[in-house]
Amino acid sequence: MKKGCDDITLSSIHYPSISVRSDSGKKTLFEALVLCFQVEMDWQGQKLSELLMQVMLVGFAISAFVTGYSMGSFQMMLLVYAGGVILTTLVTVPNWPFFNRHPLKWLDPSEAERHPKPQQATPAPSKKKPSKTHQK
Amino acid sequence: MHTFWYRANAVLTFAVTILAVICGMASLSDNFNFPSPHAHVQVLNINWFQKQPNGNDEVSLTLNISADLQSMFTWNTKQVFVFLAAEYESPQNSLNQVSLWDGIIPSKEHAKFSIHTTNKYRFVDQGNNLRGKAFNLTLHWHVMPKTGKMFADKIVMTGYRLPEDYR
Repeated sequence: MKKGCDDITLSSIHYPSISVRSDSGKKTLFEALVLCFQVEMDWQGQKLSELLMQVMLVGFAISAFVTGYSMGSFQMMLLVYAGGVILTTLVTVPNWPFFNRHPLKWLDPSEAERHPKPQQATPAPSKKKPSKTHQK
Repeated sequence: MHTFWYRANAVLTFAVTILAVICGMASLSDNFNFPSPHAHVQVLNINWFQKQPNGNDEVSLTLNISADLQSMFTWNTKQVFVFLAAEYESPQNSLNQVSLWDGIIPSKEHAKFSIHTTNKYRFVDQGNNLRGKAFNLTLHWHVMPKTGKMFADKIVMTGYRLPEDYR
């Protein structure tokens, strides 16, 4: 685990491009909010949020149509559906912790150095030849 | 779906697509409504009947229009536009339609009415063919929905006749 940020669930996120962690290791509220809006969710989370979005929107649409038709009120249909869209947005758009339960397990850099990439048999000449002819 | 704005975009576009679909379904549901409107028009008086200086006949009528259009209103109805037309045949035209009165009915509560009125728009012929002319009074309507398809239909009332002489 990386330094200091394993006290909350968001600690599972370690993208090098995003540096919102403070040096003291404790997140401020602002930093937590920024994480919620900016950090990418993991693969399983993305799949889950897309499925949730589609199921919730279709479900709310069906219930909105049924309520509106049975009450004879077009406005009621729109209200129910608008409420459903807002709820769906709140559930699926922010990067909630439950979308990040399957973090990618990257190798530690020191561990990666102990297992170097296998060298290719004919690395340089085969690649350079076509590029040279191309330049001429 | 990997960042906040990708997900926001996906929710918005999918929500609007589904909104279009349920509006389409609302429009389709209007096809299950079979309206049975009633209308009755009485010509109470011929106020005057004359030949204009340019040679065209003009007549002024007092009408009593009573109608029950409540069955046209569904949950997807915005308003109903209704107009009363005098329809007759003349040597020049196989069908003349002259709009005498119109109205916009905003809700089901106003759809049952009885109106005592003179003709709102002038009843002028193209020529002088109106004396002793038999004509139909036709109530046309356009049902304007909140979303989707507009319906139009009419009721034809026959058996009206203008007097033989100017007055």
